[in-house]
Amino acid sequence: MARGMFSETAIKELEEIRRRYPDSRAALLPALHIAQREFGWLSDDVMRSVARLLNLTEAEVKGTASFYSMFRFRPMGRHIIQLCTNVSCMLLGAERLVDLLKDRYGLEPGGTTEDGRFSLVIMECIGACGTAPAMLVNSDFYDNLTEERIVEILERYK
Amino acid sequence: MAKKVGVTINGKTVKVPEGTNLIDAASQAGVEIPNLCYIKGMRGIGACRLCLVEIEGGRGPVTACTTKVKDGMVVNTDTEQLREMRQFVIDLILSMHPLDCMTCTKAGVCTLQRYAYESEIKESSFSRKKFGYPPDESNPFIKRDPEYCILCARCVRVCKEQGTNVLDFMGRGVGAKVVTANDKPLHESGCTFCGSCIDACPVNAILEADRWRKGREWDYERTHSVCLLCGGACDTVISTKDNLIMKINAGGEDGSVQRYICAIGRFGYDAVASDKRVLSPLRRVNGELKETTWEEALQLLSERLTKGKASILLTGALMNEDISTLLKVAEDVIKTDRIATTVSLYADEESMKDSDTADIDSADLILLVGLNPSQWKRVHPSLDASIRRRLSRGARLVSISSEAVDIGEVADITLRGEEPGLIKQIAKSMISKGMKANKELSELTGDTDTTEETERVADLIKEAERIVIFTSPALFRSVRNLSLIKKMDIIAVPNEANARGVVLSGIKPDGKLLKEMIEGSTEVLYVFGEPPVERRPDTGFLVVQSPYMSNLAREADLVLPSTTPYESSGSIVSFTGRVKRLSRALRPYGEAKQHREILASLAKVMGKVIKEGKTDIKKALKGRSKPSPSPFEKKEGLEIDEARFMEETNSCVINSSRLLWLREAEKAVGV
Amino acid sequence: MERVLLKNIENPNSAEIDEYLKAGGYRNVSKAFDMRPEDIIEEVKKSGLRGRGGAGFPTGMKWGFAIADPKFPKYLICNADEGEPGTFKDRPILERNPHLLIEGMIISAYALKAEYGYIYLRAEYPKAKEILDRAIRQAYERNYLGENILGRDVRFHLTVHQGAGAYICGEETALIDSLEGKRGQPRNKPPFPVNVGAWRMPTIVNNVETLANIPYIVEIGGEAYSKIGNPECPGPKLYCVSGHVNRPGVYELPMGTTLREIIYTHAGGIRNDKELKAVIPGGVSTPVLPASMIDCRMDFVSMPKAGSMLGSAAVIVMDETVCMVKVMHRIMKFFEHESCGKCTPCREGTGWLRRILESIEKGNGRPGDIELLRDISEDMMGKTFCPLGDGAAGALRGMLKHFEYEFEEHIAGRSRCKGG
Repeated sequence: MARGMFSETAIKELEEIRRRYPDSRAALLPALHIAQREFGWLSDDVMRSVARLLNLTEAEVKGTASFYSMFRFRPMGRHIIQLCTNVSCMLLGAERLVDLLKDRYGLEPGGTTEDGRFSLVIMECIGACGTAPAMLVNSDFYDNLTEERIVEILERYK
Repeated sequence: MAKKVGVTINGKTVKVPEGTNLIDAASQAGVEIPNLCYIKGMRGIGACRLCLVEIEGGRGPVTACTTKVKDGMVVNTDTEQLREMRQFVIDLILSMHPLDCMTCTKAGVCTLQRYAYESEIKESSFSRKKFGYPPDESNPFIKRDPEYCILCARCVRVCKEQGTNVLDFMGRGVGAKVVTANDKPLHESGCTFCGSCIDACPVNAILEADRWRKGREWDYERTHSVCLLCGGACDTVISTKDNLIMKINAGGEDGSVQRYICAIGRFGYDAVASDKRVLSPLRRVNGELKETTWEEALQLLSERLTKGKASILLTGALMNEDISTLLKVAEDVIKTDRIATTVSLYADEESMKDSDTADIDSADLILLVGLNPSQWKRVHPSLDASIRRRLSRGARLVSISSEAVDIGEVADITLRGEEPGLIKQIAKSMISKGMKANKELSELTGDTDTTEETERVADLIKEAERIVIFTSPALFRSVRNLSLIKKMDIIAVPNEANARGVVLSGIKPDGKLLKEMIEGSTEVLYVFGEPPVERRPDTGFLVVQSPYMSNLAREADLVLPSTTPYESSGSIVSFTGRVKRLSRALRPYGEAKQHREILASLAKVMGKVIKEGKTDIKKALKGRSKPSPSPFEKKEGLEIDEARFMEETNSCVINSSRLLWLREAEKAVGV
Repeated sequence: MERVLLKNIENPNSAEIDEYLKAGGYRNVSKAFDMRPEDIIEEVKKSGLRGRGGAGFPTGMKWGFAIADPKFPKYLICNADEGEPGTFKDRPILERNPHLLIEGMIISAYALKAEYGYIYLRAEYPKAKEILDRAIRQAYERNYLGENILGRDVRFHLTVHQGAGAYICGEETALIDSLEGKRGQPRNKPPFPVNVGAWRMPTIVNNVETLANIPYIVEIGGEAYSKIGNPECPGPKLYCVSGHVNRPGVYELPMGTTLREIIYTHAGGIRNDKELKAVIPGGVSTPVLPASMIDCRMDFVSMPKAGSMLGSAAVIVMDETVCMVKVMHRIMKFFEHESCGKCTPCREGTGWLRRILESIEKGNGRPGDIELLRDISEDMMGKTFCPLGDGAAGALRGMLKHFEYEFEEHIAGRSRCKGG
C-alpha cells in the first residue's frame, strides 16, 4: 500500500481491516474513520491519501465521505461537543443547553470557540433518549445533562 | 432473442421483449412517460419520481423506469392522480431552478421546461431556494452551472459508466451538488472533455461553454454525420446556423454504447472557419503560393499529369464515393496504377477486408489484442469508452498485449507477453476444454503449453455467447484462428475512419509503394488529404488536395481546396463494418469542392467525361474470405506510434481550434 | 416474564464472556450445531418472530428466501444502525449483552450458511464499538468465531463496521451500499438483498434485537416461543420509553403490552403530576397518538388499527406543556437533514415542509398553510423511493389528524407558545 501521510500503525490497522472485506472499497469508511482519528479532520490531502491507499478516485472518496454527517471537512476545535437536540432531548431541555453554550462559550452550532477549545455539532439522536438530554464529548458519553452539569463536565476538557 | 410479452399501455397493447422496462415498452406503444433521470440503455434508478405509473391490480404507483413488463400487464400512465403527482414533482424541482427561460440557452430543448409547459406550471408554488454555487467557466469547452442542476444524476452516471469517473455527488439531500474531486475545475480533474455530460444534461447545468447568445436549438439545423478524425468513425449530429457550426453532439441512439464522441470530434470544428483553411486553388509562382482560379489550376495539373508519370497518395479518411471516382480517373484519365494509401502504415489488405461486422452493444465478452485504447491519450478513445460502458453493463474483458495497457485496470484477465504466443496458448486451451478445432489448427497449436491464465480465458470464451475481438491489424491472421474453434467476431482496428472502405474499394495497402513515394522520387505526386508527411518528398511536381494548409501543402506546387467532412456528403465503412453516411452540414467555404467534383472537373479538362464512380461497398463487405488456419505470427512493418499518427493526421484541426488550449492545459497538469 | 434479551444486564461485567458463559451463554450454539440448518429455519418460522427493526417482516420467511438462493458466499448483516429518534432499545444489548448478539449471529449464520458477518454499527455509539470489538475478540479466543467452530466444520467471521452518521443507512439496501464503501443511498427493490445484496451476493439483514432472539428460540423451540405475547406477532419485545415519564428506560415486556401499561405501570407515569398529552409510539416516523388512545396494544398488528405503527417501539411521551407545532418542526428538520437526496419528492418535499412548519412556529404562518402541508404530505405519501419520505409525510399527517387546532392557533396568533 502507498503510505501517503499515514502513520505506520494506521497503515497496519488498515491493512488488517482491508482483509475482512471482499474488496478494498468496503474499507473506505473504516479508512476515513482512522484518518479522522489521526488528523482530526479530512483535508483534501488526507482524502487523496485514502484514495491512493484504496485504489479509488478522489471523486469517489470525497463523494462518499461528504454523504456522512460525522466526517469533518475543516479543522475542528480540540474537543468536539456532539449535543443531541432531537425530540426526546428537546422535551427535556436540550435547547437551553444550546443557549448556554452560546452564552457561556460563544459557541454556535457548527462553530468553534475562538480559542479553538471546543467545536459544537448538533446531533440527530444519539440513542440516549431514556437519559436525555445527552451529548458526546469526543467519544466520551454524558447524559442526564442539566445546565450546571454540562458546565462542570466541560471544565474537564481544556 | 428474448421472449415477447404483451402489455397494455393506456389501452394500447404491444408486444415487447421480456425484461423491457415500462418506459421503453410505453414508447413502443407511442406513449411517452415523463422522466428526468432515466437514460435509455442504463438501469433505471427511480430517483426523479416523474415516471410513476399505475398498474391495474397493483398496490400503488410504481416507477416505470424500474419496473419490468409482465405478460398481460395493464398500465395507465395518465390518470388524474398521476398528473397531480407529476405536477407536484415539477413544482418541487422548479423551486430549486432559475425561471429565466427567456434567456436560457437550453430553452426549447430543456426537459424541465417541457414538463412545466405540459403541467401548466408558470412558476413554483414554493419560493425559490438559492444556493449561490458559482459556475465552473474555467475551460473553453464545458460550462457547469450548479444553479441550474436538478440533481438527476445523469451526468454522474454517464461519466462513471464510460470510465472517466470525474463527476460525483458531494454532500447529502437538499444540499447535494455535482462536483469533481475536491470541487476543482474540470481541467484539473482528469476530465477528457468528451462532453458526454453535455449530452446527458436535461437542463442548463452542463452546456458547451461558448453557447451564450449563439442561438437556441430552434435556430439550428441538425445534420447527422460521422466524425472522420480517427479510426473510431463516431456518429455525430452537427448543429449549424448561418453556415457556421454551432455545436456537435454525439449521434447514435440514446443509451447506446456507441453514443460517445471525444473532445476532438466535438470541439475540433473551429478549424473549419479558421485561417488554416485553403479557400481557393493556389499555385507556386516564383517560390510563393499564389491564388489562382480552378480553371487555371486544373489546366496546370492536366499538363503536368500528361507529361509525367503520376503517383497518387490518399489517406484513409477519404469517402467511398471519392475513392471510386479517384480509381476511375486514375485508370481512365491519368492512367496510373501507382496508388498508395496511409492505411498501409498500420494495416494489411487481409485485416481490412476480412474483418467481421460486429455489434459491441451486444457483446458479452470482449478480447483486446495488441491494442491500447485510451480516452485520455485519445488513441481509439471511442473504443475505450464503448468497452468500459459495455463492462459497466456486465460484459467481460480480456486484454492481451506485449505492452502495459491502460484499460487493463478494468479487465477481468490481463495477459502480458508476445501476442502470437499467447493467442496460440489460448487456442490450445480452448481445444483442451473440448471446443472443436480441425486437424490442421490442432497441429499448429501442438507445440505449445497452456497456462492457468490462458485456461481461464478459454473458460470465459466457452461461457460467452457473443464474443467480439478487437485486434491490431498486425495480429489479425493469428487471432482469426480462434474463430475456427468458436464462433466470434474479429475486428482489426485501423487508425483512420475509412480504412476498410479504402481497401474494400480495391486499393491494396502497399507499404513499399508508399515508402517509394515518400522517400524515393516521383515525377508527379498527387496527395489527397492530410497524410503524416512533414517534408516535401523528392518529386517533380507536388499537388496537395486538402481542406487545410498542412505542412505538406505549404511545400506543394499546387494546392487544391477540398471540403472538410462537414461540407461533404458520402459514405464510409466504419471499423465495425457498418456503412455510415455523412450528409452535408455546411455549404463549402470559399471555393472548396469535394474530391470527386474536383476529379470530375479534372477529367473534363483532360478530355474525358467521368460519371461518379460506383463501387458496391455493401457487396464488397459481404465478400469476406473464409478463415483458414494460419501460423501464429505478428505481421511486420505495421507498427506506428498511434497517438502521434492521430496528432499528425489532424494537426491542422488541433492547431487551429480550441483544442490547442486543451493540449496546453494537459501539458500543465502533466497528463 | 423471564427476561431474555436483557438478562443479567445489572451485572457490571455482563459484557465479559466468562460472565456470559456462567449464566449459560453460548450453550445454544452447540445445541444449534446439532440441528440441521433447515430445521433451525423451520423453528424460526414456527416461532412467528418478526423483524424488530420496524417493518416487522417475518424473519423465518426472509431466511427462507435467502437459503433458497443458490449463490455463495452469503452474508449476514446485523443492523445496529439504531437511528430512529427516540430509539435506544438495541443499545443495552450492544453495550451490556454483546455475547447474546454474537451467539444469535453464530446460530443464524450456521442456519443460513453464511460464513461472513458484519455488525453495521452507528458511529454515534463509540462505546458499543469498543465493547463489541472486545466481545468478538473473546469469542474468537474461545473458538465461538473463526474456523472450525467448536471443532465442527463451521466457520464464521464477524466484523464491526462503523457507519458515519446517516439515518438512511438504517434502511437495509442503503446500509449495504454504505457497507460497500459507497454513499448510503437506497437501492431499487427487487432484487431484494436476500438475492442480490452485499457485493451482489445473497445477504440477510436483521436487526440487533431480532438476532438476539435467536438463541432463545433454539433453546425453547419455536412452538413455545410463539406463545409469548400476542400470538399474531409473538415474543419478548424491548420498549424504550423517553420524554415526560418518571422512569424512562428500556423495558422488556411481552409483545402486545398496551401503551397505558408501558407508560403507567413500567415507566412510572407522567412526571411532575402533569397530564399526558400525546405519545409518539414507535419513533418519530410513526404517527402520534393523543392521550385518549393509549389503550392500544403495542405490536405490529394492533398499532396500524389505531392509525399508527409499532416502528422501533420508541415511545416518546409528551405532557400537556408540549407544543406540537414545535415537535413537528423539529421532526421535519430531522427528516430534511437525513434525506439522502436521491428522489425528488423526499429531497425537496421535506425541505418545504420544514420551511412551512418553521414559519408557522415562528408566528409567520399564513392561512392556507395547513392545506399546503396536507397537500404536500399527501403527494409524498407512497411516492418516494424509500420509506423515509413516507415517515416524514406520515408523521405530519398524524399530527394534523389529532392536533390540527394547535397549528390553527399558531397561524391565527392565538397560541401561547408563539415564537417557539
